[in-house]
Amino acid sequence: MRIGLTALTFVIGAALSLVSYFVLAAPLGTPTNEGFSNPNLEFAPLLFVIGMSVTVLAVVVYEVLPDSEQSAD
Amino acid sequence: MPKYGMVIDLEKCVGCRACMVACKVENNTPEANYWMYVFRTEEREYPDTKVTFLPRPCQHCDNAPCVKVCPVGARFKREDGLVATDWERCIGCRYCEVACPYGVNSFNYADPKKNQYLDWSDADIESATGGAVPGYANPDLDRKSQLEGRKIAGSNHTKGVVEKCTFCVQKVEKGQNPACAETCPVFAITFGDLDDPESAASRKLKASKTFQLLDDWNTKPRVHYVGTPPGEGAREIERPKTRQTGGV
Amino acid sequence: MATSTRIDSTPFGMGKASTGWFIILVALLAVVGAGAYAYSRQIVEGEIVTGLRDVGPAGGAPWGLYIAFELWAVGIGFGAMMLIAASRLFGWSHLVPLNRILAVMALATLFIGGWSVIADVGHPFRAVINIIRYARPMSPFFGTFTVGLVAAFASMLVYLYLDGRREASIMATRPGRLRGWFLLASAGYKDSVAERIRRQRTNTVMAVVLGIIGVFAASTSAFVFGVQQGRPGWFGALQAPGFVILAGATGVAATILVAALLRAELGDRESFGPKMFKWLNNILLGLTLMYIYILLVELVTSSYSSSAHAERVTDAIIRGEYAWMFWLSSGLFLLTAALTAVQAIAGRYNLRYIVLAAVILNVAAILKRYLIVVPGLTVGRLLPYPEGSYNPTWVEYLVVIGLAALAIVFFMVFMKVFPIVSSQNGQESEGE
Repeated sequence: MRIGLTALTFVIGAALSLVSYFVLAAPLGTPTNEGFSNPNLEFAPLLFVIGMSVTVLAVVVYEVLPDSEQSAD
Repeated sequence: MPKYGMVIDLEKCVGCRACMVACKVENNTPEANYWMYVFRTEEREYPDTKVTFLPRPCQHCDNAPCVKVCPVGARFKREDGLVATDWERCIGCRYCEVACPYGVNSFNYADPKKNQYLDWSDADIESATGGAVPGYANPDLDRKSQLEGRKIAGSNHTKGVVEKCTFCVQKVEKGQNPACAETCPVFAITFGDLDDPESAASRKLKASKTFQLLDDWNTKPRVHYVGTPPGEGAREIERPKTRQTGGV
Repeated sequence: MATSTRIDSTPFGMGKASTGWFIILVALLAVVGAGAYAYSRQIVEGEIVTGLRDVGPAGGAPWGLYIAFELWAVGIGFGAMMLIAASRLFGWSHLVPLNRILAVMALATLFIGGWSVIADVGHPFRAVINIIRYARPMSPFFGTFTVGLVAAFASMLVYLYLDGRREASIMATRPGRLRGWFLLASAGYKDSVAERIRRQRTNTVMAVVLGIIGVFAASTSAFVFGVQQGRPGWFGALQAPGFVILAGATGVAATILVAALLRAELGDRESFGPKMFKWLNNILLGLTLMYIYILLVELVTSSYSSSAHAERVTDAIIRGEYAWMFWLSSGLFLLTAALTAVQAIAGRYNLRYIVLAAVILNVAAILKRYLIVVPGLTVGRLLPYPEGSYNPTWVEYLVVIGLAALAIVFFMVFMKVFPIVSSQNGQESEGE
């Protein structure tokens, strides 16, 4: 449960970061037209920031999630 | 889609700076900001002195360092070759300015003064004008561009944004030439579609031996020069007022 | 002021505020207020009130004190992150009590570093919105704003929270006004064996994360300058490693100063013992020597400069108008190395000399940051513009001094609501 949720948080955060950076933000490469100045989705950089924060929050999930009845000391 | 560019014939240029004045009139640029700037330079020592002139608009590079570094996409490359600044999006970080090797960018350190070059309230002037103050703003500067619908012509030059030569985009989109090219008394500036072999600029480019400023820096400028560039030891003379003053 | 030890119900002067503390706080807030006033002038009148002017015909520097201060401040933050990482990963147990100080220091300096960038831009409110709305990965600023500041800030907050959970749970068992706050911060922590093992794991993970982000963020700050081919004096592959090493050195030096101040203030010679300062002295020595090496390599490379423009920048720095600053900062780096090396070689450490070395290193670093930013803008233009000049105005000085005061206020207030010293040595080893 703990590992699963931690992994899920990490994967969601990392995926959001990668997708927002490589797909949703303004294209990479030498700009040849106006399209290079606009993100494919507005506020994609905010999603990147949220993604990075969620990735780091995976550690909090791992540590703060209460122990289940069986595994409690 | 045309690909605009400019050919400047240094062998014709007489350094009169009429292009600088035309640019200021067309674009209402603030005091001490020159989107078009003409270097008057001197090389060697008297009596072998050589004076040269170098008009310097924005080079509208195809590999523009300013476009690459702009954090918010306010500086962008248009399909027609122009490098534009969306002054509504610009955050005024001046990264484009430090990245540009040509020094073409101007930051508005303060709101522009109206009628900055003449004190129209002066008694002598008032007696001549009868108190009339000429119009200040060019309304075309406030319109959105046709190509992408963004405000890129400069508008009222509010403080806190970076601006530069636009190749007079407001005129180019109407099929006209930039003000500097229209005004040059010796026809040293030719503007046009460099992809069209029949355009005057293309013909000029084809007929002459040209160079590009700092071409070894891989910026791929769209401004070409006929003649020879100023030498390494060239020093600038007869500078206009270029530094904004005021504040503390 | 309060002198306490860990066995007190409110250690490290928490929850108590002496008259002296209030006087210092009010004085610092007055400085912050002066900075805010200066900034308000800039907002109203525009950056015409600063000494910044256009590069090119105007003969100025569009970046100056704000950016140099930003580099120095975030350098301390990134350095603090790297020190946390190193102390955790390499088991430098004498530095573990410093971990929370480092975390708070990193948060405070990253915060004021971010604000000094905001102070520099022409449209601060628009900047905040447009950065999260349009920021382009192609721009090195994307790295600075997002990876450099946001990722570093978020990871430091997470680290600070997790690092303090155990102590919050202990503090929550004691009577006091802050009990409710500690209960909330502990988030159900019971100090079980399983929890300790988990803490050990997350500490290691966070150490790796902080180390990577610290190095990467310092590098992205360097890329803002190092990738600019059109700016002689800036372009170079050595900028990034130079930034990382100088960030580490300033982070360690700032840590020495804070630790020495807290040692005097709290009278806690156990947490801030001689071994801690010996370690810090030796780390500072290592990093300073590495930075001197970078300086030497830069100096040799630039003296064989390939272009006349770069040569002019080098000349201005070594022999021209910036020479006094360059030689002063270089001399101060050497003095730092000498002060720390003599103690390391003799095996005898004197806190005063260590503190002196830390002060000197920070002065040298501020000068060096200025030298990175300004001469590349005022000298060595590629077209025949005249050489430029830049003199900061009182507005710029007041804004950066106000920001520095804000960081100290942040630190002082934190000290009153949470134990500033990490006291987990024993617990750490139990978990291992």
